[in-house]
Amino acid sequence: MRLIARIDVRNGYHIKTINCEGVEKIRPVEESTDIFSQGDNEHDEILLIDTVASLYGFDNWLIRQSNKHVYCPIPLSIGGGVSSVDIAISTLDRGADKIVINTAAVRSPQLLEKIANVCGRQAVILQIDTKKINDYYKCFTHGARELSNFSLTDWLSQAQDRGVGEVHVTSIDSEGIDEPFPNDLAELCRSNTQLPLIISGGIRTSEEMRNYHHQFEIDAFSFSSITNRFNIAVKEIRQQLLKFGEDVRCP
Amino acid sequence: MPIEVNLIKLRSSNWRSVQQSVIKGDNIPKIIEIHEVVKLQKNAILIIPGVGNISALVDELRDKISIVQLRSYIELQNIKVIGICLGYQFLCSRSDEDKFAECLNLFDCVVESIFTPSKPSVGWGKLNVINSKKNANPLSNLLIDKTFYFTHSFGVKVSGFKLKAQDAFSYSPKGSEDLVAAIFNGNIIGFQFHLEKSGQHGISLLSSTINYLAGE
Repeated sequence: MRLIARIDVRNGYHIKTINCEGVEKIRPVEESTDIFSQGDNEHDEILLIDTVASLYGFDNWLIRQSNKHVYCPIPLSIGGGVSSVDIAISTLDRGADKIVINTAAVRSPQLLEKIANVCGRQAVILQIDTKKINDYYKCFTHGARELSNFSLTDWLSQAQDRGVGEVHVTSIDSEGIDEPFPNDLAELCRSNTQLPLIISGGIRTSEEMRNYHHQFEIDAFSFSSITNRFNIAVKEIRQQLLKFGEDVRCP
Repeated sequence: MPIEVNLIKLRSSNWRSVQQSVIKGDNIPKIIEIHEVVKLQKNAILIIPGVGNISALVDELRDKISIVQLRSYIELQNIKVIGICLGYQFLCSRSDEDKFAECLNLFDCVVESIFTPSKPSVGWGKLNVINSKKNANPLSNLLIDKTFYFTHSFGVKVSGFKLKAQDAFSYSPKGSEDLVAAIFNGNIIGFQFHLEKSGQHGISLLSSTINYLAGE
């Protein structure tokens, strides 16, 4: 299993979000990347999304760090405003290991393949923010604010052929509140792609992770509330998963 | 005492992250351009990093140096090489990712697609020994049963692995047959996983590998 620290970013701060909408500052981004890459809170990866980059046409947080290279001793994925091959390359050059793309890929799906051809498909994560509209899961762009024409199932089933390496799916309705990631969404995700799948938005306990793993063969989870709201160290989650007999890394 | 290590600055790589992990392991990375490899002193240590696809890496190298010349120099000057991920695959004889991409052929094995249709194997994998006597390798205690970060769509399959003369270690990715994770062939060492992204343990292994090569 992969336990991934999700860091939503706005104006250089790690923010708390509810239904993908920022509600308060938690701490500066650099402090969060340090906390989540070592010690009792060392996750398996960090996934950082600049939530307003696409909305306002900004560069993402990593590119805005001038020409500085940011080193993270565990894999670092960066999203927000990745709208061209050049921006993808710049983001990787500054220390990202993977780039996370949503809005620009919905606007121009060929971009995924172009980036994969240059950077390798292992560096491309397709971000899907979704919620149910009239009984169908639809995809949203611009930090989960704009409804697109894409249905979840159509978009997911295209991903592998378009050069995507992994898919990160956020359930907007259960994000940041005390609701679980919906089972029907987990099932739809697994049945529409064979790509490595990360789910987010309502990942609350080790027991739920175990259930998603055994019921839907999902083994990567990105979360924020466990560590930032409930103050549970990821080491504790690892120990609980180990007791369940799950395959987790112990740094 | 810190050891100087030459690190090739390749566009098809995350060389800056490797640079930082060398520094965190208390050694000194010297960043070199591709054409400077053939100016390295005898017994120098060289890291070939790599991320992405093999065609891009080979094209980038071949623009500056012939692959045959590079291999000859490594052998003649006894250059000690550490290949990481795509850099490791470049040490093999060829890759199915691009059969026309000329590789170094310092490991007699072929890199194949892990899955059909292609998709990456991503995650942390625990290492097992293939053909080294357990604990015979000086770095065994840092490898066997330890977990490292892998992300790759191509790799060397254990079932097709012919080399018997050197130490090798494997891992078992989800949904695939076992793959070769690390090869120790004299002074040529390859890691399929990303030491620079495997937390403190990866930093320690890189540092120990550099120390090991410096003592050879």
